[in-house]
Parts: sequence; C-alpha cells; structure tokens
Amino acid sequence: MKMMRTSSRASRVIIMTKTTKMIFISLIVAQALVLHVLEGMIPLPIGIPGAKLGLANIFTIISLYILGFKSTVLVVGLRVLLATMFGGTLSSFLYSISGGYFSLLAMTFVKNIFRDKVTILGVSGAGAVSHNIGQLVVASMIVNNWSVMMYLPVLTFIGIGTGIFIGIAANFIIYHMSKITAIKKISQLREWEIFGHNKS
Amino acid sequence: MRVKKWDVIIIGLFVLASFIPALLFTLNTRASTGGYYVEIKVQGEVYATRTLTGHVGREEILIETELGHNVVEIIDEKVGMYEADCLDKVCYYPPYIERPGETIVCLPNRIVIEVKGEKPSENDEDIITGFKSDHHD
Repeated sequence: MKMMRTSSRASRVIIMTKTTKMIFISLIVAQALVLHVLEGMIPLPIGIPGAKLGLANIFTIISLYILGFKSTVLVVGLRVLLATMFGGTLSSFLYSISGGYFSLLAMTFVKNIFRDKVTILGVSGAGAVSHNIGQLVVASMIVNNWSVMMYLPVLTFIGIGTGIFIGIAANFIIYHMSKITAIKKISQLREWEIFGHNKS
Repeated sequence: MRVKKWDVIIIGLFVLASFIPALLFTLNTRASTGGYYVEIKVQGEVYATRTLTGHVGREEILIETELGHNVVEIIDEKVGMYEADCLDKVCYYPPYIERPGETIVCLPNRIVIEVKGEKPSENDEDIITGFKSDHHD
C-alpha cells in the first residue's frame, strides 16, 4: 500500500511515462511490421537466397537507442511474433527470432562496450552481421549440417551494406525523433549518441 | 555525422569472423582422412561406417539381425545392397549410391545406408533453395 501514500502527482507522472513508453513500443512494432510487409514486396535484383534489406531492423535500432535494452527485447519479440502471423512459417519464425535476438545482443554489446567510440553505423553493421550468424546457426541446426555456415561470408558482405544503410536511416530518424517532447521524457539517449551535435 | 575509427574496426572484425566457419571447414576436411563416408544404421543405431573417398576394391558388410539377413557391398567409391532377404526388394534400387545425401533403405529389416560428407555438395543446394523460399528476415 506504499503506492497510495506517494503523492498523486508523482504517481501520475510515472503512469504517464509508462503509458508513453507503451505507446511508443506499440508504434515502433507497428511501423516495423509495415516495413516488413513492404519489404516483402520489393524484388531484390541480386539472386542470393537469404539476402534481405532487413528494413525492420531500423526500428530495433531506434528502440535500442531510445528505449534501452529491456524494452527492445519486447519490441523484437512482438515484431517477430506478429510478422510470423502475417505470413510466415514455423521455420521463418525460428530464423527470425534467433537472428533478431542475436543481433540485439550484439548491438547492445557493441553499444555499451564502446560507448562514445562507436557511432550508430558500427552498431548497425554489427547487428546486421550477427543477424546472419544467428540465422545460419539455427538453419544449420535444423538441417543438422554445419556446412550451411559456409554461406556466411556471402551474407556478411550484403549484411554490411544493408547494415550501413540502415544505420544512416536510423540515425536520421533518431535525430529528429529526439526533438519530440513526449519522446524526450522516455528517451535514454545520451549526448554523444545524437549525431547532430558532432559538428566537425 | 562522421564514421569513427572503431566503426570500421568492429565491422572489419565481424567480416573476419564470418570467415571462421569456412576456414574451420577447410581445415577440417584437409585434416580428416577425407571426403565422403558411408554410414550403415541398423534399427536406428550406427552399425558400421566406412570411408568412401579413396576406397579401392570390393568389400562386403554382413548384417545379421533377428529381422533378417543383408549383405552390403562397397565397390570402390560406391555402395549398394548386394543381398537382402526381404520381400519388397526396394533396397535394390538404386543399385549403387555414391554422393552425400543419397540413401538406400531396407524397411523390413530396418537398415538405412547413407552416404555422408563434410564437403558442400549438390545435397546442400536443396537446403539453401528451401531457405530462399522461406519468407524470413
């Protein structure tokens, strides 16, 4: 019953930030899903199976920078689950969830270890490559043949390209998003992570 | 926005790391006695394995269980069922197998003969094409 004794104003602020956070998470998941569906409609000119733009990853990065790791776990889980419901199979779910969480872990690692030494490009590139690693590990576990991992270098080079592109896109979105008052309240962005401030 | 030094280093490390499995596989195949081998399973358990690559001459493997009697023969780098006392004789077709992924199955006697290999082969194309048709991200 300690909750009752706290002043109503303070609790309202807490509830408000909680609600803002929830709404932000749901918006991010919805946008990621839209991008996921749109991406499925884009034919890729290169005939390399498994290669994708991974546009939905933009929102994983945004969420990681603005909401932090814990909420991003939720974002990734919801996105993969809903994407599977929108037209996926069990194997696509397994690939996506392993890739998604593996890239999330790698991105958090890179972001927290190197802090201001690394920009969003490095984080995004690491995320893209580790997404491929996670996927191929599960794929080789499913077919019980580790020679699938031989395919990794091909995917990595494409992943680096799309990863950098996605990093740039996410950078622009985060830069503009961080000006919104409601997002400022829940934002965990640190100063060096906003790239507008780097004038040089 | 500027690319920092560590961005390049991290991405470079990831690119290098992605070659590790390929490297391991190459070293592995070179270190081991080689390529393809055949695995004979009887009632779910491995009964015998023989290296196929570089195999010369004819070898017979006799399998005697309570379910029946089979003779598997290996001629050079091919494996086939030589003799089977089952009724359907499905195991006589194909007569010989030699590529990874190919199997000969004798269902009545519960025998599975499979050619396996560490090397990537045509067998893997199926897997990757299946990979392509899946809609994942």
